[in-house]
Amino acid sequence: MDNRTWIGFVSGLVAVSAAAGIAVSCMDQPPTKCQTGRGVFAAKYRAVSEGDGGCLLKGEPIGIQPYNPANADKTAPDIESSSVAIRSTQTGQALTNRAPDLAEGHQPYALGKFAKADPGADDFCDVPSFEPSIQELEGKPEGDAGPDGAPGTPAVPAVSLKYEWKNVRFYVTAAQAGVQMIGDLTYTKNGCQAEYKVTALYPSTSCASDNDSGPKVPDQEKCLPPDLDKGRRGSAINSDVDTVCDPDLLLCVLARDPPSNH
Amino acid sequence: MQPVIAAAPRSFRRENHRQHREERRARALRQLLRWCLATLLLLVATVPPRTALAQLGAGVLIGNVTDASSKEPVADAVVTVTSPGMQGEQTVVTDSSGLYRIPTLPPGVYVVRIDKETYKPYTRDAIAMRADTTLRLNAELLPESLKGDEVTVVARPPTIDVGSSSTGMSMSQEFTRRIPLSRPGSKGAGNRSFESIAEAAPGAAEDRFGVSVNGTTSPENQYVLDGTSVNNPAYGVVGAPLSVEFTKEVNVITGGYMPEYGRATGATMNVVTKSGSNEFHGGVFAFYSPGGLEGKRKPIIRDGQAVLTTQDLSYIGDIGADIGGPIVKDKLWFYAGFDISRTRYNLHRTLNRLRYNNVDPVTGVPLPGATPIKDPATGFTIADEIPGAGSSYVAEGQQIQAIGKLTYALNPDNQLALSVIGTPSTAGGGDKYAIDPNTGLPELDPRLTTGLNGSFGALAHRLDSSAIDTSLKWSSAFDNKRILIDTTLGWHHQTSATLPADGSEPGAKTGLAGVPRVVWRRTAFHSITDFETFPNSNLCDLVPGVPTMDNPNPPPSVPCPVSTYNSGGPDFLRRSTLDRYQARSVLTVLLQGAGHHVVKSGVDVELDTYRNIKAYSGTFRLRESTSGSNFAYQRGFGFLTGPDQAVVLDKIDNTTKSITAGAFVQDSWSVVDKFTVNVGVRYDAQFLYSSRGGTPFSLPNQWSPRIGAIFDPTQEGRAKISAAFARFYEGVPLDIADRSLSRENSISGLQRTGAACPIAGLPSTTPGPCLGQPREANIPPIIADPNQKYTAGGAGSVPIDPNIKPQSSDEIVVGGEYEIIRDGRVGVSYTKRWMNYVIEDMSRDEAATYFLGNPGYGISKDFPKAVRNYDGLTFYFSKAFADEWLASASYTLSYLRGNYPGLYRPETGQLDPNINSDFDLITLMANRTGPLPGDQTHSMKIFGSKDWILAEQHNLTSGLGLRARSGAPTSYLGSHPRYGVDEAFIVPRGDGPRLPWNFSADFQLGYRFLVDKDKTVVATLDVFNLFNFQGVSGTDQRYTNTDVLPVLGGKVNPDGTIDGIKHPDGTDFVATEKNPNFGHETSYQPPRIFRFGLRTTF
Repeated sequence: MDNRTWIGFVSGLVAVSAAAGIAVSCMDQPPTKCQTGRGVFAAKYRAVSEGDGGCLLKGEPIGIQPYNPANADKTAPDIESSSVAIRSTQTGQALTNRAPDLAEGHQPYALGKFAKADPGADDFCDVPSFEPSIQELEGKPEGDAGPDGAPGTPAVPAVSLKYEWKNVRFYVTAAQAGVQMIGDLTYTKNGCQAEYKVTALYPSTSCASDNDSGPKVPDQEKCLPPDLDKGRRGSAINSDVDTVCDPDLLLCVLARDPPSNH
Repeated sequence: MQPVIAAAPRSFRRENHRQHREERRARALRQLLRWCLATLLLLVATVPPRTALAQLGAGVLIGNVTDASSKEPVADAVVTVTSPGMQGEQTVVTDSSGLYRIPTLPPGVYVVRIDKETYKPYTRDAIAMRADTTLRLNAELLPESLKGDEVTVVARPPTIDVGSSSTGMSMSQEFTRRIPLSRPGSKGAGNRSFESIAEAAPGAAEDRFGVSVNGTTSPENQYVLDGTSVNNPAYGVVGAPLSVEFTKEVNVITGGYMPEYGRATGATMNVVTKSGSNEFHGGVFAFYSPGGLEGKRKPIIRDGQAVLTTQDLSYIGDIGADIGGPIVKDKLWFYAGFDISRTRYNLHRTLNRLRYNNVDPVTGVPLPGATPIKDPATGFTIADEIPGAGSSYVAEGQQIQAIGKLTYALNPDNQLALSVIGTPSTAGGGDKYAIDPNTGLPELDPRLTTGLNGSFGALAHRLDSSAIDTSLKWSSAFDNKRILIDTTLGWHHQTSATLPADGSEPGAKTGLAGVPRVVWRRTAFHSITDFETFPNSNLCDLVPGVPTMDNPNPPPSVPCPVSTYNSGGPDFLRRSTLDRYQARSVLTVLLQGAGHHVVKSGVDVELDTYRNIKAYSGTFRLRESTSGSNFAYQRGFGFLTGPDQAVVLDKIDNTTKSITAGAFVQDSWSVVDKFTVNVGVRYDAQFLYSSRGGTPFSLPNQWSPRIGAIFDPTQEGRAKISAAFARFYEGVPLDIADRSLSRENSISGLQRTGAACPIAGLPSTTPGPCLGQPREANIPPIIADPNQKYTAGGAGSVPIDPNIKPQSSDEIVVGGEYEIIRDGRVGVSYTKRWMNYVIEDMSRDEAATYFLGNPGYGISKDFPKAVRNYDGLTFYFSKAFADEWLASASYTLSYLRGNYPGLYRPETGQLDPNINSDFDLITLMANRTGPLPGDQTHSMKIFGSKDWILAEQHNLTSGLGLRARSGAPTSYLGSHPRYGVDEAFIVPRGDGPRLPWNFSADFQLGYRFLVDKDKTVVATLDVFNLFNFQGVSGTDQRYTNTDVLPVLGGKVNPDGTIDGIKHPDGTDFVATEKNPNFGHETSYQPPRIFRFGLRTTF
């Protein structure tokens, strides 16, 4: 082997490595599949039609969980298919002191399927339709007074709650794996119906001021990310998300429709 | 990511801070004095040893040949080197400038002969070539015409590596056999693995999983055995702990190395095994360390409780033999060896009853209202052993090592070597506990854990581990050895298993693998009688309280309390199979042009695969709540297909793989003979595949520039000044692909405690979790959550930062070296290391969801950057074995700060490279920056050996090892609701008092009988820790067992308290929640131990 041969060998090697380097440098990482934050979102309800006005909601914390079916041999979840369930705080509260409604087709959560396994070009994952959340709960009469004259448990009224979700979309990127949501909600309580455009942010974070006396007021600082140098523990909300402290809910909500980013 | 196995809480002790600190200081002072005295005495008798600075594989011999009278260069002189350790000889001729270079010399002692017509032959012997060094031997030839004059050659053999700026230590057999190394009881000591001796290198220190250097952690090292990487492909720790009996040279390269070494951010440990040669050589050896001669262990004083465990060594021993020689002389050689080792400890478990202040004088039974007595000196509750209730166990582990090697010389320029190395080991099983191969100590070592606080079936394991390494190396040379090609094919095959003691498989429904672990930890302590029946158990009857006005229903006192008890099955189990297929080819070309060049370029490809079957025994772990009202399904594999619709998995069976491809080019350029420039670059790309396949996790663009300059002011190889810069990239172990990329689907929940739900095997009066009933709703309920009974983790896909960068660190090394005596050199080096990007998993929502990224960058920009800054200044002296003595001494002053310890977590022992819990929890990010656990400012090591000739055939040999090290920092740790104990830094890391200095003095005495020139019989006695120093090596850093938040801007008050501690729910911490044992000693130095050795060689 003469000098030219080895120079050829070395340059070839360097060229191949460089080419390989460049080729793989634009290689993608595994995609972030359609998914949602796991837990309670702060949902802001904007009325589209207010019905008779008797069931107006400005928003509430809603619980959202993603699921995957089992694969063929039931040894692992099949991540190429996923679904999502939404349960509202109102439904949860109604169930704390009433027997659940177990009727066929009645469930305390709405359940829908992601249309595709991967986010679209706009980084959104669509859940076009849901089985509604329906709970028709019977009330309870007032409890008997105690032997010492103590008052019995107060009467619990019957309640009927129905949440119909559709056109729900989650913003899914590696940085924000389904923490921003938008969708349409038809809400019916005891026959009163209202329609809302809903935006929601995970995790639900209180921005009520710390004052011990007087009414709580919005404190936007509580929506900000941690800044340990300034002694701020901060929220668990992704720092890319543009939030406002909602004065009605005293929760950190999306500043605008998703993607609500800085 | 959350650790799989939560550390068991240690026992409580009452605080007695200042007194202990003072005692420790006084003790340290006494030890320092004794140690200094020992040092002085012994330095007079023997002296300091041989170190070596080196790079990988072969050494290089260079030099100029000149005419002694005219001082002109002599061209075409024939330079021949021979060695007993080399097959055949190597020959080159000098070029027109009189320069020669022999680039492929295995480590060994060489004779050089230079011949040229019209000159007298020149020979020089005793040239000690260390692995990967460049030595310069200049020669002046005497013209034959120079008649009559007698000329004496006064040149000394060279010892300074003038071709490289790397730091470290090369350990030959002379060193490893003459110095007391590999203390019995330490990791790998059973058969004296190459890793166990590596801590002798300057800047190196033992850590939990091996030996680490320059502020890094041991899984960051690259372990290379005969050119093949033998790291455990899943965890990065050593995968083939070969005994030094079979190694020719162990080269610990701590820094400043060239691009031919890569994929490591720690040290490179390059091991060259022995080969056969034209003469038959071999030996038989046996070593034995009896436990009966162990020095007295300082007892660890604990608060009185029912279960107390002590252990003592029974024995550590091994026996083996090796032989090498020719099959066909000058053509085919063989080498073979084996070694069998066994380690056994005795574990003693006693049951105890607290001593009470008010007892019936006749029966000894405590009277109602009696309270336990505390020892006024320690503040600990006193307990007395219950007669007849104790039990003893054995913890045992054994390993077999075997090596076979064939070397074949096709012709003088082509050589093939095939080696197969097997290192199978088993530990525990049947009625024995296991020796943990990661620590060399019994599992549940009472110094590290609460000991045997449970049933045998729940605590004991069988640990199997085995590796087979096969490598085929082809070396060829062309053009008067100016062009060399070395090609290596390697296969590392490893299996390991953590099984129940009965050997049942992970995921099995029968045997102990089918029984769930139950962890009992009520704060109103259980009595041992809730779990065990034993003679005299009536001594544990509850002591009733006496009602008072304030407290009409006082709870009874528990005389035999257990703070934590484990029943049921053995919890986490696994069986894994790991393979690495590696191909490596390196071209070396010697060139001239503006000086001399050694150009190397190479390609290196490896495929790693990892099949890991993991399971929790009985599919889940149940943990009692502190109130005792319910049990959490704390761990268990499974996933949810819909709201509260669970699929429970018996096991998870993942097969993951990684492909790494790399290439490098480097030039070692002697600009003029005084000056060498090493410059090169390495490129690597790694791709990790989850068990589902698909798009890999890609870590391309690992460009590692390396540059170094070496200046020899003497021009004769007697001194050097060097500087180097290097970037190192991490080869990411497959654990991240198994646990994070493939996901580890888990479900948890709650089960209530029921009086009618006893557990099989426990007394029927003990209420247990009602496993037959539906799970309970979560406490506290999250009313909006679609899941009311289950919490799911790890499902779906893990988000990965699309712009994630591979993990790397940078290093600057500057140093100088000077040969002060024959074969001896002094030197100084300064090393600075820092991290660039670090790969970790993180979570913003308290571990509900994780993602992968670089903390502080990209999608993780709101997390703190990972920092680890190391500065180290080392002074050393080293003398190779010659004139019957060798020596090596070093002192390192170092500084290590940051928030990133490395690939494992020293505080908890979690070994999950790149997915440790360091950056998992945003609520725990505060206070993590400070002195890291490896920050031990001063470290001094002195090794020496001297032979004493008694008579013609009778020698005495002596060796010593002296070590002194200042103490590590300590911290104030708290618990996290999900991650458990020791995860929160309540005040900044390292704000606790430093541990005291530790000293040790080890000696070897030997008698060597020389049967004839090649046959010897040697009997040795090693004594480790001769003075039985019992310095404190660990204190309890757990400030509290309760869940707390880090205190922002928090500091420790002079009285040891901390203001402003809050629970995660915002409520205030109360003083009674402090761990009474905080700050107290939890471990001492290992005691004195003897090792007897007998070796015959021929």
